[in-house]
Amino acid sequence: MDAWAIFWAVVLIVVLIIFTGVSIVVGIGGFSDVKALFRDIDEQHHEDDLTDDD
Amino acid sequence: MDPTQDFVSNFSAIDWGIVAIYLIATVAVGIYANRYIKNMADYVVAGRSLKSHLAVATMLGSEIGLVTVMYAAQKGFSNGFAAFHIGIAAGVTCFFIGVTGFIVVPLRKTGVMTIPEYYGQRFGKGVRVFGALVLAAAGILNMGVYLKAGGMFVTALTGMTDPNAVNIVMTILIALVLLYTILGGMVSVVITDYIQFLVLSFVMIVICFLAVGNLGWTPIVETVKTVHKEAGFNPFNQDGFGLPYVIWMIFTFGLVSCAVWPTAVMRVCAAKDISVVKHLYRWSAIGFMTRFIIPQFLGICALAWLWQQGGEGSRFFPEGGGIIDNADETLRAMPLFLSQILPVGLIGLVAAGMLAAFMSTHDSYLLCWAAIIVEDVIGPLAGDRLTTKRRLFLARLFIFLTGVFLLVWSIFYPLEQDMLDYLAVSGAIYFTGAFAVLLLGLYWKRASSAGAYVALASGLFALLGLQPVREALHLTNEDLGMEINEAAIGLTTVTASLLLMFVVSLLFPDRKKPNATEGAS
Repeated sequence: MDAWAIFWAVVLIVVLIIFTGVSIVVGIGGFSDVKALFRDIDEQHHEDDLTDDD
Repeated sequence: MDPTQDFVSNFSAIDWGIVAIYLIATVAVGIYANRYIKNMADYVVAGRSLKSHLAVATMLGSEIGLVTVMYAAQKGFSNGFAAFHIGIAAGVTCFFIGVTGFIVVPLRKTGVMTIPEYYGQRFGKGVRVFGALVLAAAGILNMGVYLKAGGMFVTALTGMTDPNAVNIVMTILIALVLLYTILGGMVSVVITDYIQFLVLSFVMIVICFLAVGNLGWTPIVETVKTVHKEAGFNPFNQDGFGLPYVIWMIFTFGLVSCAVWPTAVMRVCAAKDISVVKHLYRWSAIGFMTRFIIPQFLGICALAWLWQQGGEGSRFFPEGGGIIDNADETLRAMPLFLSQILPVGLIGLVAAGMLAAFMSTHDSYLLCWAAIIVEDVIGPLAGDRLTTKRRLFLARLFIFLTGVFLLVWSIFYPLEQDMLDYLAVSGAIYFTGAFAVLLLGLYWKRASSAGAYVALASGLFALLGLQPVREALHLTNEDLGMEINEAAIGLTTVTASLLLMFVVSLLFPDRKKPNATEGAS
């Protein structure tokens, strides 16, 4: 039982450390992606409008 | 008996203010995102413009929802540290999919927007419509307890004890979700998922440290030893989960949740290209593991804290050992614990983060089921007569109708088992058949439409895993005189679906290859 307790404690610590790191990376990178998303959709709509005009 | 009545929540007017500001801001995002919606692709897959970081954030934002936090915490409370195996199963399987591209890469290559659309490409229009109906029915049934989890979380955290409070909170929550999902579609889903991911990840990490600081690591471990004994640590122990349950979790919350469950697949379809898909899964492995392990740990902390308040013979711990046999009360344990240890201000942020998580899960799912009904049932049947404007109107109408159904179901369905088990079983009605159809459809040329029909229909056997269904049919363990749990029923259904599809495909092969474009949007 004690071996399992140590194992789960290690799992919990590792998960907390990695999750913190991923949250920071994804949080910062995600912000630029949000801006790019709006830009891409606008561009798609612009291209669609041009195609419709043709 | 109301287990919250002896505890006074720390939730204050300041916390209500934080929640109100957060919710108003979320609805405002939905309204803002509406200006980017011009066609069904914008509404359903955000114009296929998601890049890696945002794709990861939005996938985690949807998957680490309030419902996940609640049912995972319930498992931690009910089974101790052994419940962590579910997180490990989910994380390892997700990473495996990210490395190999198993199912998701060939699926993305087909260019479909939904799984039933793939059925249409591979097996024809009939399978597409039938598969979509099974998927939507199972998915909406699966969602049926989400509102209840949200209502219970809010009432327990804020200290509401009125018997009608849960129903009132559920009504307000579903009204808010419907408002901004109907307005904004996938673009607002992506943005709110991102914000929610930021808030919730911060909140969950802080709560873990606060909980350990408050209780101490050794007392937490000792409580699990006292209450759950060996089964609280060893997932293979027969007094707890046992091997079949572990396999069922690897399949359900590992493989299915990552590669077959439609909201995850929707992210695959929305990704810019295959490299983003693989990147998405490799990074999301952390989230798939975390979304179980951190809330489960909070459930374990709730166990330790409530044990310290009364010990054996108290409300949550009956004489003779173990924990109370009441799913509603074990579900309430974690928010009740948070309401006692979190300070003013932080508790408001937790409530706001969790509510945002709740809304983010709901919007993804509502959007998913509505898109499937419109694109995969009505669309193929109506042919070219369905204009873009009408498709958007119908999607919004079905989102509204699903919301009404969820409210009614949440109020009247008696949850008589752990929420995680309810979700696994109700989801299995769809995914047992879908797994067989996807796996054999993508990797076996001789898979036929007759086999696909049979595999999809066989998922209905999973209904026997729902406790009220078993009671209605007199098939409980007591009636049968033997122990048959959800895991056994689920695994049997999966095996049966695969075998049936294989055998029926051999017996009734397709006469000609279905037109690749038939049934596609």
